[in-house]
Amino acid sequence: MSTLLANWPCSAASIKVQPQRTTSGEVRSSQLERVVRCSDSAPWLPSLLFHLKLLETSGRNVPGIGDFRITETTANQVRRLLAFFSEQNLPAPRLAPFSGGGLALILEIGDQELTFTVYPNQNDIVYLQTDENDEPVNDGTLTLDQTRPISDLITAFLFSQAR
Amino acid sequence: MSPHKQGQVRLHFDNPPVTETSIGFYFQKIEGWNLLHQGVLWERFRAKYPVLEILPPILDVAPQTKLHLDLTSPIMRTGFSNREKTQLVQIQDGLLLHNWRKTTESPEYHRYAETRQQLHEDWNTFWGYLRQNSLKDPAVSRCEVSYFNHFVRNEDWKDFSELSDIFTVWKALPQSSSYGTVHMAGFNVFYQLDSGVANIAVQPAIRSSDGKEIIQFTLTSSALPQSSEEGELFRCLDECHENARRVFVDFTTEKVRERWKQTR
Repeated sequence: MSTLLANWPCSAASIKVQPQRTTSGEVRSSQLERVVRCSDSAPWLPSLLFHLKLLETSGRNVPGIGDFRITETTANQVRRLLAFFSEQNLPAPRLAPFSGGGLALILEIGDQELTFTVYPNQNDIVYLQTDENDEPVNDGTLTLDQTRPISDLITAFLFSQAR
Repeated sequence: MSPHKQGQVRLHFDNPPVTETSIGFYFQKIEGWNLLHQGVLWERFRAKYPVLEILPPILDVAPQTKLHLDLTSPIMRTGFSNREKTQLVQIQDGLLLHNWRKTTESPEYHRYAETRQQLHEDWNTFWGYLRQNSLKDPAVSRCEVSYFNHFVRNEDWKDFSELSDIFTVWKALPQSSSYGTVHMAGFNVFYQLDSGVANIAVQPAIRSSDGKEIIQFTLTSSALPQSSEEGELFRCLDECHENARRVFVDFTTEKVRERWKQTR
């Protein structure tokens, strides 16, 4: 989607449209299905996809410590989140696998964090925002189809840093 | 001479990789056209296409950092689709396209002849509306046929080293002293034909609907019609389609086409 920049009052009846930060191919495309092309994505996306693939194919079950393998279904959910973050022009999140096949995606800005956690065999994702003292300030669950609430959550997180 | 250059290419796959097709016409902006026309026009389509989708506009111009749009005629792209969301008419000041898309509920591929028939009806509806509202006939600048194919990881391929099994133009890397492996790869080719241009884009991507890793193979074939007469437009469109089939054969390996012939 393009960003509209309107300055009121303006001398002429015009608005400036800044095309989305993509290649010209995407804004020209007649394709309906939403795909995030790695060539147009945030620079960090290919690298994180590689690490995610490693967790999926070579994640280890370490006796006494835990099983860090993730399933394809979990990886798909994480990829949907990564694609969404990339579209929102967010900085690189951190991948944090944990025992039992779950994975957390952590957005860090300053001392504050917004974490999205994907659990195996669950459609819901759990989010948790913490402040500079690691105290929770906002948490809950969402599904990945709830793109508007996820976007609002991220916007609120970014604005809380700006204040 | 390769077999497909001697006549029409015959392609029939039981299991084609295509997930979406888009065919239609780009034309010069119609004098007097505005957003209200787009809304009123929907009434003409609504019985067949009752679902409205607002889509980001297609900027059919050279890439620019900023565009200045006249507020008195903002650009909007609307999609009118059937209830199943498999057939959709895209309308924007400057283009009319008909898309077929695969859905989980309706995965059967709709062949070009069917989509062309739908476009023909759409075009007549649009043209009739212009006539009845004393607007000028569209001056068509381009006919276009696009195929969006998805190769899903772990279903159609496992590793990017297999790209050479799918595309004739991609060569596997020789053993290198760095012991590196191809993590991702893509390419873009503009291919000039006797009667048009084809663009082949092979891009690694994530499908937003299910998070699957895909290689998207987009094949767009376009040509300039000699006039904006209906007969010429559809003749030109057929040529684009034929070119697309030839390019598809040129760029995909026999091995992968054999795989697509098999029912899953």
